[in-house]
Amino acid sequence: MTTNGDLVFSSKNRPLNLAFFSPLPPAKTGIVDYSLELLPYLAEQAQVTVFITGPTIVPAQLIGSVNILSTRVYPERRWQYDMSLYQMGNDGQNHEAIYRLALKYPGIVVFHDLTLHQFIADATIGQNDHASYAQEFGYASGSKGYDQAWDIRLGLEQKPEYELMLNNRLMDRSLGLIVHSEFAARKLRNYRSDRPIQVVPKPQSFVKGRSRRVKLGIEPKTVVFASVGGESRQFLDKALAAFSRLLKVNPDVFYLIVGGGPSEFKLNRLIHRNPIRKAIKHTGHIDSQQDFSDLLATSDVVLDLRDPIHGETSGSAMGAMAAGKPLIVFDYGWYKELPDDVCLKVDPADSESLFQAMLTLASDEEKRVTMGLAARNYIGDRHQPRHSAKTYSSFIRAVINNLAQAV
Amino acid sequence: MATAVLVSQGVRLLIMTREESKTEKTDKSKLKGDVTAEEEAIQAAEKDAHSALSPTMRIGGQAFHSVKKIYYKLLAGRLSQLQEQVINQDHELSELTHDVGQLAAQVRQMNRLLEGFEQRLTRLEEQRQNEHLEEGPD
Repeated sequence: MTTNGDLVFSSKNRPLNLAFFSPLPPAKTGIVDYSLELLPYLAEQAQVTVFITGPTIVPAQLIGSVNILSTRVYPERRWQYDMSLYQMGNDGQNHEAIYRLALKYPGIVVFHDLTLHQFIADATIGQNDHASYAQEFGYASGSKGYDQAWDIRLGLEQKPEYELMLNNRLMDRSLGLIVHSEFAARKLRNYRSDRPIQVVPKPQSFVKGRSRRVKLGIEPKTVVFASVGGESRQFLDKALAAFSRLLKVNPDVFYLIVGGGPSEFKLNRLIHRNPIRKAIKHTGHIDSQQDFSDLLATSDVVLDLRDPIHGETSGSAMGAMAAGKPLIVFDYGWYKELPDDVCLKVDPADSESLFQAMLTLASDEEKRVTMGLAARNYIGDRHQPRHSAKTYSSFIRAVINNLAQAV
Repeated sequence: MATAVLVSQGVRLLIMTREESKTEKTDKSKLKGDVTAEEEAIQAAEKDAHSALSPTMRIGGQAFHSVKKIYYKLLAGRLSQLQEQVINQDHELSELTHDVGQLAAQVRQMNRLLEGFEQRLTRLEEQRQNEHLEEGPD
């Protein structure tokens, strides 16, 4: 009770007891990395039990700080926890059980992707259950949606994966929502302004790596541009076209493609047919975090050209900033929220502005260094895992105390 | 709810099968080229049979077709009504689940508060007993 007689549930003195639903290793997803960054710090703010759906290798940083249980025991134990946190993504294998529990036992849902269309399609059409897919369409956009789903079945329409997000049911049932960016929060508020929504910056530790220039045969003074992660083929084509122009103006540049592309075979063909292939290196799929960090350390500028249509925050852009590298990004979605001193934003439809951005950073070393430092500082100020954990904790308390108003 | 989904799915599958068979037929006739003489003869025979029917029977056949049309129209209307109902119920169910979720969270917090009160009461009782013992018997 407060002095004025209002009921307050969650006292700051009593630690929160949280149920946290997330995949953990050996699963390899961005959400696993996210949870591993966040959990040690969240465990400083609350008692945390992580509920897992399959066999797990408990990472060293979690031993002793959190309890780990199977999702199967959650229903009988659920009364012990002040709140449940569901980490939701589009990977059907890792999130199906989490989704079902989130619908049945409402809690706070963390939307890593805004659209769940791919997830719903896998869970329904993927199991030969078109009726349930149509039901989700009906839920999202009424009878029209229902008919649309059957038109898709008849092959008369394409799946509207990005237009119809199919996240409404989960939003309607949730007690609160967490997203990574204002862009995502705005989209969710458009649908349900009455649900508590909190932006929690994605936790990101600093990335330390060793340059592999000697191993790759790259001269120290060469400016290395890098594309990291699964960019779409279309955007990689654009980037390489701009790079090809740049090479004519400034021959002391190199292009590093880190990680598997949208299609390894097509990507290799694209590079081998390219007349500037000597200035390009494709690393192929990267498995270890150390390799990833080292290749980031090798680069001078990172191009993160993707259309964040799922409403996600780019992990590779975050990694690049954490490694102190300036970015070239599209002026769209979450990227718009990045400060102008850490990246150059280009219009997705304008090839010339992409070329100009590459030219500017290739020829101005001081700018590269200044922007890289600003990027690192930005990560330090805004994305430190401890800061994210504190925001989580205060939001959960606020949601719980809001419930007290309803008593 | 599930019945409506099944019925609707059935109707759509029926339409789909019909469309598929139509496409099949067209494909076949394309393959064969022009209609064969045999088919022409069958069509002519069918025409003769139709003209041989009495006018009442012909009107009856047309009436049957228009009744069938009306029936399908009504069925489609009813199905979309049911569909709307299912969707509305689905939304209501979600809202109710959300409310239950809120209530469950409130109950958990109430239990926590009660636990706290009980602990405080126990401490106060112990304190009082100790004070009572210190004061000694009257």
